[in-house]
Amino acid sequence: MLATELKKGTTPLLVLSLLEATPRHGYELSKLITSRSGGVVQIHAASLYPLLYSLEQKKWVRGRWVEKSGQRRRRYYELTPAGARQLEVQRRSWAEFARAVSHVAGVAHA
Amino acid sequence: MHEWREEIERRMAGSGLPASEEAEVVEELAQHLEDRYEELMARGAGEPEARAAALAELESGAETLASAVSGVRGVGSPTQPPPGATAAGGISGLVGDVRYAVRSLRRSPGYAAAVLVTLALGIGAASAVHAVVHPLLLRPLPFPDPERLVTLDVALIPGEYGLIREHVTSFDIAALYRPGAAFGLSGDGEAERVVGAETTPELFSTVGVGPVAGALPDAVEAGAGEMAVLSYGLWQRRFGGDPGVVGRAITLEGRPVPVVAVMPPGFSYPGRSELWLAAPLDRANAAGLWGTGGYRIVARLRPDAPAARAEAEIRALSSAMSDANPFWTPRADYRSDVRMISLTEATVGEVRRALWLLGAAVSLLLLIACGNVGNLILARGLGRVRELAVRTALGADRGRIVRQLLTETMVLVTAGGVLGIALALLAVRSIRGILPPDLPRSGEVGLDIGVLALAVVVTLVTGVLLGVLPARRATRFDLHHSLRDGGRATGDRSGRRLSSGLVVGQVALAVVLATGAGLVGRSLLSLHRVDTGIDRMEVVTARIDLPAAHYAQAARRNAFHDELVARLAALPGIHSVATTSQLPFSGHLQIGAMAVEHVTTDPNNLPVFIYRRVTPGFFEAVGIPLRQGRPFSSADGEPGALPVAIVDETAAREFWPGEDPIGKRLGRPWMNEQLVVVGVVGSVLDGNLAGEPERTVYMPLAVDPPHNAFVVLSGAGTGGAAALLRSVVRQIDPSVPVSEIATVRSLVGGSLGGQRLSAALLASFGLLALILAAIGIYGVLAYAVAQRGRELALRRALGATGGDLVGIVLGHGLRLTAAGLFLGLGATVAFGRVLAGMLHGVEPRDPATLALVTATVLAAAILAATLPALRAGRAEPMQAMRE
Repeated sequence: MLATELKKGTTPLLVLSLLEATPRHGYELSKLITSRSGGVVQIHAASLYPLLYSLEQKKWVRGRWVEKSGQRRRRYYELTPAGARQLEVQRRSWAEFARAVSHVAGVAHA
Repeated sequence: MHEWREEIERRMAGSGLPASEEAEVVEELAQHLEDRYEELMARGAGEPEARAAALAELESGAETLASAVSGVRGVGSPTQPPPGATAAGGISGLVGDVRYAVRSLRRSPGYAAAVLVTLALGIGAASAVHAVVHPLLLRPLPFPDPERLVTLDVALIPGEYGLIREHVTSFDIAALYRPGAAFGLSGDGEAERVVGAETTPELFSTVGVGPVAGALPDAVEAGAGEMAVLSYGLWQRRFGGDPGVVGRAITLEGRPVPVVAVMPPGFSYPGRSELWLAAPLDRANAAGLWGTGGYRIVARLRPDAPAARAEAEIRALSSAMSDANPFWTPRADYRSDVRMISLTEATVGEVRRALWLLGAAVSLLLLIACGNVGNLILARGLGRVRELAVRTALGADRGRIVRQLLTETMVLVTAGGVLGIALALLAVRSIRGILPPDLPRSGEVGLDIGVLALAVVVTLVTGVLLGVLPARRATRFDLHHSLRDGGRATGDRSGRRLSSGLVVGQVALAVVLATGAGLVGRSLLSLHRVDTGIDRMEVVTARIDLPAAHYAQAARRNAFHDELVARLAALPGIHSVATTSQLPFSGHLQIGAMAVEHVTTDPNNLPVFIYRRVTPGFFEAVGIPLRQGRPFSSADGEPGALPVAIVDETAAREFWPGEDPIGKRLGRPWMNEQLVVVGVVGSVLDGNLAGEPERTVYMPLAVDPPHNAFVVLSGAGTGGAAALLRSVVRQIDPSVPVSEIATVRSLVGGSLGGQRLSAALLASFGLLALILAAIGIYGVLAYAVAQRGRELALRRALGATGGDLVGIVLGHGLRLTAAGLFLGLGATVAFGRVLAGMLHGVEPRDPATLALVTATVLAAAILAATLPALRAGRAEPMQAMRE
């Protein structure tokens, strides 16, 4: 239960972080989230794309159709300057939150 | 790849995105699914496995893909505003909203159809009934100051009118007329019979309508001749609108009458007059003044004179009226109870109550229809609370959601209104077909701008009310509770009770109306089976009118009748022919008092008979059996022959019970008439199938041949007979009009017009009420199932089968229906006495009708409950866990 709620709140952070280095398309993002979280976080297309669209709506990312020879066109998302600032804000608050939770729950001492 | 697209498009239905935007989303997701599928295949997964995994990508908890995407996609993008996102809803915003609404409705066809049907029926019925009620009841008479026009509740004798004009000071002006007159119009083409009124010339200035051509002389000197006034319709039809007809003479009843004026279109008072024969009262002619009755007065009150004073003035004339009458001495209290009534009252008085009831019933129906729609919309809104909550959580603003809900309702209401108006047009056409032809002002029944405007206003008000309520509800939701409770409304007990009560009331109303329709229908059937006493119902009849001028002498009239009968009888295929002064069910009744020798004693209180003058072959031609004695022979009509009569069984039984009627005498004492009874024939009904036969006396037609007669003709079909009759009459005298060609059966059927109207109205209202009640049951149950989703799932989890759940919902529907049935049947039995007067051959508590209604209502209820019940049956235990 907690994992579900956590996932909901943290997916935007994950997506923004993955776009920090380079523009990526949706499938790539979903694969990276699964592999880098070791399978703990999985996101279906039905949740991922609405999330991407809402990030786009907030102007944190920008989507663009890119055609590469021999492939169907794909939509790549890149981080905007506003998105980069937002990523910093979210990273900081996540770190504070994680520290606070660890502290209270005694995770660090376990 | 295509397969992914289909799956995605299916889930995107109703997203409300512009087509290009949606296509991009579909493409992007399809690409994603294809990538996943290919990757799994490459890793060696089986095809079905890979496919399932790819499709699983489209699953996302409670929210639909469409709503998840539509909430976020493209908002803020400068090129493609989403539905309703632009400020104050520009045109593109409105179009988007409407498109969104249509798509979303398409996803719930059952709901959309139920709302549409309800609205169309409600609005259609209200508009149709209003179209009927408005001109007949609410629209004032098409005359200036109609409230000052009055008439008396009795028919007058011309002499009385003379006294009223001289002595009653409360009237500005008054006119006397005889309605329902008919004139033979010849010359200018084929002779025809035109319906109209004989009137004094003041009629037109009294009602306050002037002519479109010619002039109406207001003051006419005594001794001035007759004048003809044409209706606009007759002027166009018969004279091609020729202005030259004014001032020239036309041939009425065989004599030339100058046309003085043409009335404006739409003027047909009294009744449906096409021609007015205006003549001043001839004071030199006492017989004309006092001899004949059946006249009506219409008067215009002085602005300062109350109707009561005029009434008192007329009552005060009582003794003057009886003193002035040279022909008989009326009772002492003659005219002392005469009542003054408004012309409007007199014109629509009889149907007024029925029409008010109709209006009230249809308003109730409309109200119920609105209640139904309200229930349906609530039920739907409830099912979507969670969806709306999620969308709000994802950033869709509440104003936009309200707008979308409102748009959805308005789309439905507009479509319902359009359908309703179409239905109303159809209904008005069929109502016009069944209105009794003599119903006053029925020609004005029709959908006009006013009625359509009303329909539009009703539609809009309904839409806004129904749209705002659920929209308000939707915005009041609390995200936290909605997500937690899965959208179960709480604290809504009173609303639920209200809608249940509404449904019970609807069922009861449907039961009452359906029972009424059933009873009146059965009564109608039993009236059709009534024995009229006439054996040959297929005999063809027609009316012939001998113009007064050419046929002043009885001998000429007799010669016409003889020749007509002889010529027709000589034709091949004709079995028998006769003419008569009065035919049963023709709508023309001649009655009069007679003294019966040794039986009646009081000359002022004589029994009234139906008089019928007939040619010798009459009884054989229409199939009235001879019980005793002999029929008429041609010798009976010869001058100097013994005056004879034939009576019917009713008269024979009444006056000479246990005696031989043959040889008895009766007659009109003031004519020194002594008729010897030579035969007794079977009794026949006239005019009223539900009534008893009235005493009737038959006399040889040749003794006093009438100007207006009916010819009866057996052995020819109606179609052939009509042409035959016209050609034979034209050969004898082209100035004689032939009209009212019919069979006796159709005349008898025509006498049921009023009953047929009430049966048809009751039946359509019953059907309407039944449909609405069924939709109501559906709405309430659908609402309940949506509300109790978690409870049903829980029951399922606790071991109830799908069948049990179906049973629970069906039981709920049947309980509501049973309560409505109980109430409705109770009301029917209680109001049975009101209906009893309208019924013939069937009891108000007729068990067969009540059983049929009960069965029909139950069947409709079960049908309505099935859909929600099945939905309940599909409740899954997991649902309870998830929510």
